[in-house]
Amino acid sequence: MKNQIKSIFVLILVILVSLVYKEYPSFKNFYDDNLDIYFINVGQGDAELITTSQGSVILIDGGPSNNLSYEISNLLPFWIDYINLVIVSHSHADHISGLIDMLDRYRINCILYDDTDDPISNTEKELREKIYDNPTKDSPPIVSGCLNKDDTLSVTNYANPNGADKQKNQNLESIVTLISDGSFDVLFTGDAENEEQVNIIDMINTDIEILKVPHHGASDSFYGDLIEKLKPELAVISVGKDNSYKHPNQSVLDAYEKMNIPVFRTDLKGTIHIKEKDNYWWLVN
Amino acid sequence: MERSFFISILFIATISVIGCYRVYGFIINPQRILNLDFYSSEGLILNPPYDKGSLQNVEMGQVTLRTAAYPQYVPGQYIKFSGKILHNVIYYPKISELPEKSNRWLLLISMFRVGVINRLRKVLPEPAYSLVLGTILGYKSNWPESYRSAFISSGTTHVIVASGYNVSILIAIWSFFAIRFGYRFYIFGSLILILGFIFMTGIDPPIVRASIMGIINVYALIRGEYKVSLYILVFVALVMLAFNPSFILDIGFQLSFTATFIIILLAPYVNFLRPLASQVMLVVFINLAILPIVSYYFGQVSLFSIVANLLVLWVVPVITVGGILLALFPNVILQVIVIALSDYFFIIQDYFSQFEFAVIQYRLSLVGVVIYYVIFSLVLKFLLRYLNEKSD
Repeated sequence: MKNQIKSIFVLILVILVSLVYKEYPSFKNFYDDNLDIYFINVGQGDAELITTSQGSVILIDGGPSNNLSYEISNLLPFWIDYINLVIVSHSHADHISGLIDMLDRYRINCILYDDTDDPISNTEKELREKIYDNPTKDSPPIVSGCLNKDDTLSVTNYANPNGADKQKNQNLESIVTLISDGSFDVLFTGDAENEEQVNIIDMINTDIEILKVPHHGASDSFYGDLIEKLKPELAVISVGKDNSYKHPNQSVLDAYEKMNIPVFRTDLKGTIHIKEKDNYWWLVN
Repeated sequence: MERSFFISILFIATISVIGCYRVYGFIINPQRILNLDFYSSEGLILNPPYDKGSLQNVEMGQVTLRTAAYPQYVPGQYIKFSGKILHNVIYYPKISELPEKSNRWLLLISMFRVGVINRLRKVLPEPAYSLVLGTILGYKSNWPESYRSAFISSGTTHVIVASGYNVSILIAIWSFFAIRFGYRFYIFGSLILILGFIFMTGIDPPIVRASIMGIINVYALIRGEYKVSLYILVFVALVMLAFNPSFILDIGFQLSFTATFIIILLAPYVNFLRPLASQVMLVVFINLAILPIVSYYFGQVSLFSIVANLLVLWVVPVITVGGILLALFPNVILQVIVIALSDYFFIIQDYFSQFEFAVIQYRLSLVGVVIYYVIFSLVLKFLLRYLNEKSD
């Protein structure tokens, strides 16, 4: 009997150690004083997660499959059951499919999503149903109210003035999001192609530190003037290994190299994690 | 004991020959492989559809429909489908539902199943969620590539691909545990467990098969009628194969049959060994017994598979029971326990999957499988004789 109690005790200890070992990294990252930005490796698609020092969680896009659910469980502690703000850049499946599962798993405070035109796929229909089932706050464009109290992070969204509901090409309707913490700025560009970038270039009046390269590094989305104006210190391409679209385009990679902007890719590095505090930022991995 | 053992082997051989003959006939019959520009049919969805990549697979008898992930179909729905068929697969078929022909009972079970899935999704993050669904529902999750290769290289794939095997293991472990609390508790608990499984899996054939085998296993242990149990096991397998010969090609069927067979063979000796030693013996021999099946289907064998399985298999029934309880009564304590167990499972899996040298890419031929089983039977025979002498 004594031996049995001993074995059970050892087993419980082993299980507890496993729990701490596996869950501690996400716990540490979530509760430290830094802003965390993750360009999540979801295969061929886009998904970015931002967690603030005040505990706000922002998710931009959801990638092409349920891979996001696996990746996000390594980034958020399991007891975090909310996302303050979900931004759906546009309706393509490689940006929204993974969000459906997220809407089932998390309490969502606000969703920024253009539902003014007809859904383009069954996946988008399903997403809409889930969004309408989800009690969220009204007027999501005023996103500051969506974050936790005392959060000073600024989230600004830009839309193509010639884009909304007029385009057959969903990429041209991409919501472009600027996230600023003090003078640290990150621009998330969805799949915005040149035509949209030309239209929004005058709206953005700041240098940025990090650029999420538009449209997985496709050649139709490289607009040199915008890069020159924004002067990013790092460019990140969210792209799948051996994808059939042949993203990113070599000419785009060459152009960034010519501009001396280092490019990190999720297909080569996996999830890219950046931390920032008091306007200093560094790459964790 | 020995006589019954060899009679059983003879039975299995006979069934295998008959089954193979019928299945072979089925395979070479060109009329059964459908390649048509237009194919139209209708029917009731019996098996839960599963996701593969970004597509949903709906099995309609011999035909598989690969359609968009949404809307999600469930067993019990009656659908009409058409499209171009290639090797019995229709990509993006046109599907329309005929609600008046749907099966209410199956739909009711599906609703229950979907309810369980939705409840668990809210309380369990990935990969704990998929692991629990795999073990309790036989749910074929859309595992990312990195997880799939880790399962294969650590030799733990059977935990997620062949739910029948889990049921066999679960029932066996439950049996060894429950027998200490008296027969009534034992029989009642087993029946609840098996019926629960059948309902929660949406009457998934592998689970039903494994559960029936599990009942035989329970019977064997209660009555100590090991010989009779082996006969019944073989008889049930024969009936199942007569019902559908293609079962013999089903990895879940093969694994659950093999596992149950080994469990019943070793059952008489389990009680006189220490609990830990008996578990080790069971896991080692079940793994040795399924090794050729794994090699034949997956084309690789993990050298550390037995060690990895010894370390993780005890977790599977605990996770299964924890998962069922969590779905019924969601609460934080159970949530943390299940997540912790899953963390343990994946730490062990990660550790063993990193030894790439330990994964041997080898696919046994059919002859190789037969030779392996002949040698394995001889080893088993000597082991049983040794255990017999020791127990006397």
